[in-house]
Amino acid sequence: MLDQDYGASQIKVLEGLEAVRKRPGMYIGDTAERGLHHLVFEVVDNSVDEALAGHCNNIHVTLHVDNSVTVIDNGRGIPTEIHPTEGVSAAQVVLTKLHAGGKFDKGAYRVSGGLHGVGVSVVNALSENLEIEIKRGGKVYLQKYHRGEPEADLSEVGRSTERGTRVTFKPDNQIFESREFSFDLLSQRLRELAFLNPGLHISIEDEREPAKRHDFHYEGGIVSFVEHLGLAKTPLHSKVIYLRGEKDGTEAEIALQWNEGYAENIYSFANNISTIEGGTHLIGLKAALTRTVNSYAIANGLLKKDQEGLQGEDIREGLTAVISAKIPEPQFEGQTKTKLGNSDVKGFVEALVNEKLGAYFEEHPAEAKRIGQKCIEASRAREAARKARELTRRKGALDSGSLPGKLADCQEKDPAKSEIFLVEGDSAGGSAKQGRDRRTQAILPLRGKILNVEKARFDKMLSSQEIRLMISALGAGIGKEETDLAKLRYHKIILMTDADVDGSHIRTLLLTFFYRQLPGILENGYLYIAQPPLFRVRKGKVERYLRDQSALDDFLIDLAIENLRVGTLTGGELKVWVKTFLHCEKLLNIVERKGRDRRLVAALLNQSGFSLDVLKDRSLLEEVLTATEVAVRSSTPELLPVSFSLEEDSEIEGYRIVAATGVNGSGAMTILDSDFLLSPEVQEIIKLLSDLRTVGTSPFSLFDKEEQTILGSQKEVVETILTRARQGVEMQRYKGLGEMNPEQLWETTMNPETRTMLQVRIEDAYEADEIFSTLMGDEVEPRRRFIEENALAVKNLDI
Amino acid sequence: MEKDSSNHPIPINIEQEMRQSYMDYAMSVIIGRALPDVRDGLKPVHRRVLYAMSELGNDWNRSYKKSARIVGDVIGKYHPHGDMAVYDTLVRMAQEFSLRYPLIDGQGNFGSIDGDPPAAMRYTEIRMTRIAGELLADIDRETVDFIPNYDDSSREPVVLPAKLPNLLINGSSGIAVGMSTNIPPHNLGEVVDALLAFLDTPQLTSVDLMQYIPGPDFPTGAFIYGTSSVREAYETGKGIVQMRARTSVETDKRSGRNIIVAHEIPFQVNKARLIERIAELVNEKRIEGIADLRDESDRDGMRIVIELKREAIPTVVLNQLYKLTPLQESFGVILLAIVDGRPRLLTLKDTLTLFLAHRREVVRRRILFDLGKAKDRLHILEGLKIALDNLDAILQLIRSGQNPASVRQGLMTRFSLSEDQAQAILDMRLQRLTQLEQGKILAEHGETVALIAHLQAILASPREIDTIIKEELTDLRKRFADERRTQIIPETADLSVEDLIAEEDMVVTISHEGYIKRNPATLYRSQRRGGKGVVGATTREEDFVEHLFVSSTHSFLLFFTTIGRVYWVKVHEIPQSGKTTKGKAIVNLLPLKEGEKISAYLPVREFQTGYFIVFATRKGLVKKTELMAYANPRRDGIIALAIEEDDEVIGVRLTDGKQEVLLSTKKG
Repeated sequence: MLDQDYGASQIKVLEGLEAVRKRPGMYIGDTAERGLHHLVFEVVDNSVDEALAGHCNNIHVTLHVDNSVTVIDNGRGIPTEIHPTEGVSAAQVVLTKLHAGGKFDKGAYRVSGGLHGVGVSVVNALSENLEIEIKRGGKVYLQKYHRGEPEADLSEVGRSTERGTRVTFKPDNQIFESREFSFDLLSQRLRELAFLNPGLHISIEDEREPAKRHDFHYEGGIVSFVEHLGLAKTPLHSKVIYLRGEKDGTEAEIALQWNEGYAENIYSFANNISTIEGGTHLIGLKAALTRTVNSYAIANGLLKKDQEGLQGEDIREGLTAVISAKIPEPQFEGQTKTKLGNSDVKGFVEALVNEKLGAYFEEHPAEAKRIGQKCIEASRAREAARKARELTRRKGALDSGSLPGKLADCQEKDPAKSEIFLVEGDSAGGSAKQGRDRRTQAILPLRGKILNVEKARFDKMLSSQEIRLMISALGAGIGKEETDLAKLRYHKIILMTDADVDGSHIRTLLLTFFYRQLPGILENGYLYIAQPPLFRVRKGKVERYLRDQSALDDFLIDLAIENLRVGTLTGGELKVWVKTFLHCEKLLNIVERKGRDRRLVAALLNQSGFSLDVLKDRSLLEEVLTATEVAVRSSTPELLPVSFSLEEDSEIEGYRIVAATGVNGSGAMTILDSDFLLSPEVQEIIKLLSDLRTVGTSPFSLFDKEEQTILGSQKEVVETILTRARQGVEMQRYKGLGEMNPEQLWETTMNPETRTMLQVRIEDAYEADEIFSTLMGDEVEPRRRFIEENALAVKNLDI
Repeated sequence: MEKDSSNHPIPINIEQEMRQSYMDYAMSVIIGRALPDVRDGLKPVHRRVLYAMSELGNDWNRSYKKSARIVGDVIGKYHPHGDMAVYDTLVRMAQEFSLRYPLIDGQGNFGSIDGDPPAAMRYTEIRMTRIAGELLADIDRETVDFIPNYDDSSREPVVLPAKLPNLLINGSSGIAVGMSTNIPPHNLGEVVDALLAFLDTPQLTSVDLMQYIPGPDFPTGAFIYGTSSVREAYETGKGIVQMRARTSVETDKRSGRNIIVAHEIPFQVNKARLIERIAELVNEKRIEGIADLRDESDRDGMRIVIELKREAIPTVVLNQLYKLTPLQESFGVILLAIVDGRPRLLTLKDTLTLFLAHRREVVRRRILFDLGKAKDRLHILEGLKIALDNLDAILQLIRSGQNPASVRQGLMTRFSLSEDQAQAILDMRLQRLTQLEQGKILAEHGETVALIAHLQAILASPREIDTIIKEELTDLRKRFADERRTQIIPETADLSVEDLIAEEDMVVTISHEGYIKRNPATLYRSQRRGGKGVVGATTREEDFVEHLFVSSTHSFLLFFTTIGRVYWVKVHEIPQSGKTTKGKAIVNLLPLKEGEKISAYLPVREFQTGYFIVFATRKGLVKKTELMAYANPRRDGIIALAIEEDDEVIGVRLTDGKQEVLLSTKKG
């Protein structure tokens, strides 16, 4: 450094997208998860802006198997004409110039998502590949980019009567630490957008395993939002309370509903952005709620004048609310820029709620009375709980001698270095106590199934022995207002339950407790789930602990291929081949879910002559199809008779294949067009199938040392290998932690050097709230429905 | 663990974790714990207990074994859960008051209907009952599928062959997640009859089947009230059946007072707790008229004695007991069971259909098994026959042979025998070569050929299989059917308020200002000469008693208002409030509108035809209406006659249509 001159040549001016690639954090926050998902939101926000302007009502997001994302809307399409000053197409300007776009001029868009605005160009800059397709004015335009650089100019590729924009991009692995998109994280934001933009249809589809899809469409805006949040709860009043007001261009909408539950659920938004950290609009709402309900209660004799007033938390018990503010010049504060700072908003919201909610209470005496009574009940419970809590706290005021006797504490006093294992049952507790590292690891055995706090009131919860044990061991207090995470004694709280279904149940009960009562622990990422092994496998002298079924499969394949030869493949190559086969089968499952016959698709894609270009050449295509038919005849004769016909496809100026098969005597149609064949999973399958061909052609010879077995298909080969693997294997399936010796438990589950743990996080707060209400709440009907809908997705069935 | 696992935690979404863990738990409980299989009516734990017992040879005709041994085997081999849970299950299977047909024969204290705990498992001894043996019959003839147990060390049956429809005869109950089941027990003879009829006429509906199975049959006897609710349960899978204790009213020999004796109580009611509940209600004065309460049950049977006070009316007290105590209890039927690995709500017909389908499969598989055995035997016999035909050559071969293996090989090549056949020939004892024994082999050969033909014929014809099922069912009926214990009464057991209130005469007083009260007529007993009179009622100032009449507690009072509406009040609904009180304002009893006043009233004992109500209004309007027009009381009253704007009702009288009506005016 010192050797170098520091002159004018050292001063670098980063131009355009290069700057984005150098300092991505400045534009998208970070290059970790948040930034990655931000890319999708940036593209979606463009489409939402189209919707706000009234030109678009449908947005579709697809997550592909190769971690690329497609966003399609039916808006006007980005302008494709040559830009007057830049000399390239307007679309290219939008994609390559920072701060380019229609939002900066009030002419095109009146309101827009305020915070972002860095433009889709940032997405382009940070993508390995980006492809934009614009359907506008009866024509289809396409352009491809590589790391922000256009591969060619925007060109016309076909005709279409539709309109809209499709953007497909694959985040750059040079920039991002991980490219795994979280379906839930994206869903949460898209759902919000759908709620905040009534009438807009947003859907998201995940093509990775396991496939998922959500459709969001809400005519009622935030009222639908509140109704949706309250689906699994019993409301106190059936109609959601809706308040709205506008002043000096600032606009606020509020929807409220009280239910019989005990949890408080308030979501706030400013200019379509989720203000997780709250801000002035939320403060205004809370203050007004407290005032309005209190004055109503006093005026109507629910509360005696000399009685202590209701507190905010009493009023918000069982309240589901959404506030959405639209502000011309929003100011955002806080670490993640998700806290509204405009001070005038507080007074505006407060006045609005005072007036409108007061009027509502006047006009709906029956509802008002129920709400008032509920709040008073809550305040009584709070009083009872305070007394109970004081009891636990008084104990806590003494020295560590007051810690529960069952807790085997660690020597370390620094919370950051301390861990506590919440262990199911005394039998496992014993093993854990003997196996732990007493310097940093504390053990708290819990007996039996703990109380379901979703169904219990605060005071009842505090009367539960096991819950009190946990509260005093953790040391951070309890209740939303009273929790002090600074006093938390451990920064790793590890749930360690048996690997059976009762263990799963206890885990759900513990998660409910933490989610509802100590959400701070989850938000800070202090909650973990231990992963005890499910299997111990021994074959000869090899002994291994295996976490789950797929680890077991892996291990068994390893064992099986020893001394095996298939064609020319042996050892590592053979293993890769078997795993490739299993992976390919999984992808074919996706194909099947999309309504295409997997056997037929496999037969077609397996033709070495097949590629996408073939679709454009009739004679080549017919050749390939004839070969496919031959393959079907030999490998899957049950599909016969097979016949193919070709239809013209104007979008690619080629053909699409319509295949008729005779499955089980009844006919079935499979349509294979360019959209399908272009899809990432098909691309992947083509690659895998060609890899699989390394094994040679049928019949396959499987050599076990000298012994030779002849097998007809690849599938049979894999099945034979897997069957062989299980021979002579001694397997123990652990049902309880108590089955392990202390030393084994340490080695497999507790040793920080070797263990694997899951860190529990909240990705989609609405989904999380809904799932807790559904699964753990009072209403049986939604739970039964949930079970019926998900019955087929069950992984571990214990009978 | 794998080597690649480092100290970096893998993030997991809380929703995902909840979803998966919860579903694992919920489905496991639904399919593998709390609900019975429709085919054998057993939950996995029951099946495992029975299978473990059969593996231990713990049959009905062998000696008892310690319960602890069975529990140990069940836990160790098939059911890795708590020992007490298994013992509790096993105990229940032995309790005569819990199962209509107990599956376990217990020796020792297995608890009582009072909720007493059973003796510890180290004391009690058990063995299977004969009926349990029937559930397991043919299990070793490949009739049902077996799966590996939890640690792959042995195998257990997926379902038992179950000759008997255990789901119906013993019932089942269990709470899973998001759903539960509650199936009442039934009478074996009746269920078998229904199955036989159903085999003949598969089109029979659930309702048709009720002529064979009129309703549940509880081990504790007692009554079922209401066939309609039973029918609903059988037709839809859900319904609420009312059970009522069997009681009698006797006269106590010593005290001479009336006593109510309960001999049988509803299913699953704990007798000790029932008695506590009655005592509680008596102490709280919610039931009156009970003087004493004793449990006189002994080895001759149940006898709960409720001694009544002299003035108490037995039926009224009894009705109150039905209403307030488990002496009458409801059984909420939910016919939910596992069908093909999924929970399904069933009708009566479904349960029978699915049971028969199971039996058909079991019988078919049994015959296939027998057929396989017969074919094997035939194969051997054919070998032996060849040996007998070529006796000398074979003896020659054996005598010249070096060792058994070479002889066997020689036999196989020379006479084209299989290895099994050759071995069977070598294993033959010399005595079988006598003429007599040779004949036997030939005879057996013939029999086996015939048997194979017979079995194959059965397999070819579904009707033949049904015939076998029928024969087996008929045989079971002969051996196990017993009398129905629970008596079914077609009417419902809904109690009206009148059933709970003794009918007695009441003196009703109504004051001029409209205060009303009632007191028992006995309060106003006649005084002798010189009596001072008693205070009958106090009134507010400037008020006076206007009407006083005697009526029964079960009678109606019709109140007519100035605007022509009529309201009903039962006399017992009028507050009873002592001699010296003024009573309650009538307006409190009726939902009167503003400005509406009571102008007349009419006590009516019974609504009968041939009676009329005559109205008169201030303006001189008169009207006659049949009494029956007012026979349907409505809480909010109805309009009795249309009244003009400034008119009002002033008088109402009841007539039999033949009486003369005399109206007088102000001026006389």
